Amino acid sequence: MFKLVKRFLGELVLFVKGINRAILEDSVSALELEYSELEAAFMTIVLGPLVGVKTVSPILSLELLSTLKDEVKFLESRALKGKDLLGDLMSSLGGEW
Amino acid sequence: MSSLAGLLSPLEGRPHVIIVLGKGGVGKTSTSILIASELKTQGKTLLVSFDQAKHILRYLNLRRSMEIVEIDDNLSACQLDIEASARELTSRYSDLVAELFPSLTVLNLEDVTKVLKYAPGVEEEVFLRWLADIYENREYSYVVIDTPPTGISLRTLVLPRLYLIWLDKLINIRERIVSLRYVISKTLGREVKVSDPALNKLYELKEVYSKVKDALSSASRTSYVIVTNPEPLPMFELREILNFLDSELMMKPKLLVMNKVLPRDVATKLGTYDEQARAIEEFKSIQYRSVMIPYANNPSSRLEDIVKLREFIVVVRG
Ligand SMILES: Nc1ncnc2c1ncn2[C@@H]1O[C@H](COP(=O)(O)OP(=O)(O)OP(=O)(O)O)[C@@H](O)[C@H]1O
Ligand SMILES: [Mg+2]
Repeated sequence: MFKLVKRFLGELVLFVKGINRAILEDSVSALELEYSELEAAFMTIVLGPLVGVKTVSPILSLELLSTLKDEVKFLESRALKGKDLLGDLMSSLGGEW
Repeated sequence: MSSLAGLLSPLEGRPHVIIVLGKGGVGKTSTSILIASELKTQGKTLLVSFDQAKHILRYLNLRRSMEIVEIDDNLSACQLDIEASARELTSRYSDLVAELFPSLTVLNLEDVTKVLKYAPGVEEEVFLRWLADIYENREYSYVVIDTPPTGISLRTLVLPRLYLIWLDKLINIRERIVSLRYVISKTLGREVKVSDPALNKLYELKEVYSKVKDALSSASRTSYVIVTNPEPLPMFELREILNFLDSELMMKPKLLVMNKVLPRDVATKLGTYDEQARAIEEFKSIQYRSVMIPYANNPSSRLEDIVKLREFIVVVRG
């Protein structure tokens, strides 16, 4: 009897832990989604002037880009390697918005 | 002999910046020189010209652009070349572009930076950067600015406000990005980097542009002078500039200058008398301090000639 209860409790603990883990991963992936959407919005504004979308000036854009090297490199690795590199980059920003 | 400096006073702040606006050819450079040569008797004065024709080089015997030259004890002058600055600025970034977009080097990086120089907003950005520097320069009591063509000048003067709108947006998004990144890393037990160079850069830019924006709309830092001629197009541009100052910067001009007023008999002979009379009538009706400068027979091409114009200044409204 005692064994049974212990096993049950043990399973319950695992179950709760699993739920927590699942909730955690769920919420993180929700956050990650928001994160990547924001990143896309941000890069669109910053890269905009280089592809003719008037936001900040091209110079300001480049100045900001110099602080965003890693992010741009990451984006570029995702982008198609066509002739219109900036264009591909912009289209790779995509997003659900 | 009347004193332009007197009409411009009070000139507070260090430096106090006098921005001379007006249509091409009306006499912005001459007026700027007149004003600067008066102000130098009151304090250290810098005359900065963005004049694309670079007349000032000839007027003041400056050898080349981009360097500050001492004309005399209290007067220095500098010809700034917007195009050269734009070229310099864009080429400074060509290495960055090459690093960020390596595939562009295979294509034609040269072209990208070459085109960038002509991209909309670059000249204004260059002008604005110079302005930001000028307002920070405490070495001079007065800085007189002989502006580039009206279009560029007006776009530049609203640029800080425009940028601040975008910068605020970017800062909002970036702050959210940084905090999300923090939460995600923390939750997943990863190492967290708190400072973000992009966000710091955004804060820094916001500060720079806020300062210029405030200075441009502050009567204690900036005086606007508008130069016109008694002709329809310069008068049209005068009205445009007045409108602009009022609606975009909430500023009034300190002084209006009607330059190149022809003597009655000459205007009559040229058949422009009526046109000139209409322009003068309108000019006199505008409720700001104003002066008229007659057309001088010997075209002023040297500092001494220009300074002589002062003797003929007539105060319309003091
Ligand atoms: N009062 C005047 N009488 C006669 N000529 C004048 C007078 N004022 C200016 N000029 C002449 O008009 C021309 C244009 O003057 P100035 O260079 O000062 O104008 P500007 O508005 O700076 O022109 P730009 O738009 O080309 O820079 C010059 O040749 C100058 O000598
Ligand atoms: Mg000029």
